Amino acid sequence: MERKFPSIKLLLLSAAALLIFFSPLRGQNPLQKQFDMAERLYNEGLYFDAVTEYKRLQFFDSLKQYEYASDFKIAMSYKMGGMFDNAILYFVKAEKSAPSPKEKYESEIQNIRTNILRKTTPRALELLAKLEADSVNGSNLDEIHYWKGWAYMFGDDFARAALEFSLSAQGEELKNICLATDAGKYSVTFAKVISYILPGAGEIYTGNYLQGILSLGWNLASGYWMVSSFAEKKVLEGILIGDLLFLRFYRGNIQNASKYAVEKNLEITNKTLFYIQNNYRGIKP
Amino acid sequence: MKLRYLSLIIIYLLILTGKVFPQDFFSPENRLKFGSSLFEQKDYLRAAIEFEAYLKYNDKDTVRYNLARAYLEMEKYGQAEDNFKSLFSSLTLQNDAKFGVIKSLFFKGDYNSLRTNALVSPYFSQEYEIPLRRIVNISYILDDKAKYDPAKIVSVFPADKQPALLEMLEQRMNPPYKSPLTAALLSAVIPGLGKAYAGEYTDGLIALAATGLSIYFAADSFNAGNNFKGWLFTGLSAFFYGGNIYGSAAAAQNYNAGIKFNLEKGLKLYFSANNYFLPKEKF
Repeated sequence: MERKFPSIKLLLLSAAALLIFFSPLRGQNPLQKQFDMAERLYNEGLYFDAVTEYKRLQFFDSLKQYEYASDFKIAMSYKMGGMFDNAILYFVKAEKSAPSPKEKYESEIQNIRTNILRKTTPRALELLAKLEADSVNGSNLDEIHYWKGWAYMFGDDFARAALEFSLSAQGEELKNICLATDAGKYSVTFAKVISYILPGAGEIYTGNYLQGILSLGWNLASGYWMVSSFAEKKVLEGILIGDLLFLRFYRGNIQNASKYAVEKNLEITNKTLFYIQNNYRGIKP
Repeated sequence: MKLRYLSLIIIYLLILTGKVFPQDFFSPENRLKFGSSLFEQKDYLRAAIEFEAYLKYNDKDTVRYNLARAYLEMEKYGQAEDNFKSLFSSLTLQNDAKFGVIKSLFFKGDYNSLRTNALVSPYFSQEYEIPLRRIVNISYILDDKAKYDPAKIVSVFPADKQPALLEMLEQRMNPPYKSPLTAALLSAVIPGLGKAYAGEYTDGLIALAATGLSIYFAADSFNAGNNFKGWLFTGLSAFFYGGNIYGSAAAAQNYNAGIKFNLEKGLKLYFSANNYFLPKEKF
């Protein structure tokens, strides 16, 4: 009796059935599985391991299906780990591999935010200006102004920061903080100018009263000695006292006024940034 | 027969689609491939982790050698040395591994151990004789306490590099230092002269003028019966005179520090630019 073979159709059907059958057992494809593992590590805050697994994914992803996602997440992991240079490198890669303008924009914004954190303010502003110029129909302008505000704030220009925040719907609270900070800051130029006019005034303006009074005293005394020497027609003596005493105190008083104003401003800036870090609930770089 | 062929086709299809044997990214071979790629990207820490994982399954000499190199790049000299040493029995890589240990000692700055071991067994190898001699000589040059003959030291380097190197070494052996004591004494005799000796001519002239004039006005004020001004200028004179002596000694020290720094920096940059005359890695 002739043995009966199953038809080809039947065999192909069984192959398809097997494929379908195996799929749920095997779970997702290996690349997806690897991506999920990297995502889990990222979400757990294990950024070093996350970078490794995203890089492994990239290495085996010959069709570059996960190129953008992994570039972006590697950059984010580096950013979270404080490795800003590496983060920026991968954000730029992500910009290039972005599948759509939306993802490209997201990478560019993250690149800018990392530059703000890295305190490379000129670069952040340059990228923001480019983004603003590329902005279609003024879309995203609100967010661009918001990050410009942050860039200026980290660049210690609170007046311009306040101006940029005022142009963003989400920048109201930061605008007020920046205005208050700017109002509380000392003018270095003013401190120097009043010290030129009245020695010690700049030091008193910056709250250093004792130094201000001492400075005034030294300038008056040495000025008096200098003038009295000239009055006695002892020109060389007057020049010597003027150069070695009076001008030293006079120059010192101006330099001190400027130094104290800068120091005080730094204190005020740090206080503001510390406050924002701990109390501001909006989006931060 | 027909059934058998069809079954084979089905299995082939399943393998092709990755359903039966999906790609295992963590298989030893894949970890090695990934690690090698990381090594090329100079991500040495991650490369080392992958190499270590691979070596648990297969202690391959080339992989261990690259692991040691990764540690060397990360300046983890102890681990680099250990891994190089474990290759001393390797048939193909023992000479490279021996030279690797010497490189570890060199970059660690352990020049004494380097000089003790580099040219003797078990670290010496004929294959690396010239690089070994060069690295030993560089260790003498970079060690500011070592004594050596410059002409002998440069003889192991390429002929076209020898004249420049010799000039640098001779300068280093006899640096044009200024004596702080001489500078102070000169300024004690003539205010400002010590500064001029240390190369600060303008400062020297200013010091001479300031001290001389303040002494003159002190005397003039006392002669005129103005004791207050007399004492004021005397104080200033003493301040300028003493400050100038101290300043001259300090100027000479600064001058010497500048000379030393520039000579050493120049030598380090020279060797670094020439990759310490190290041979290229084989793979």
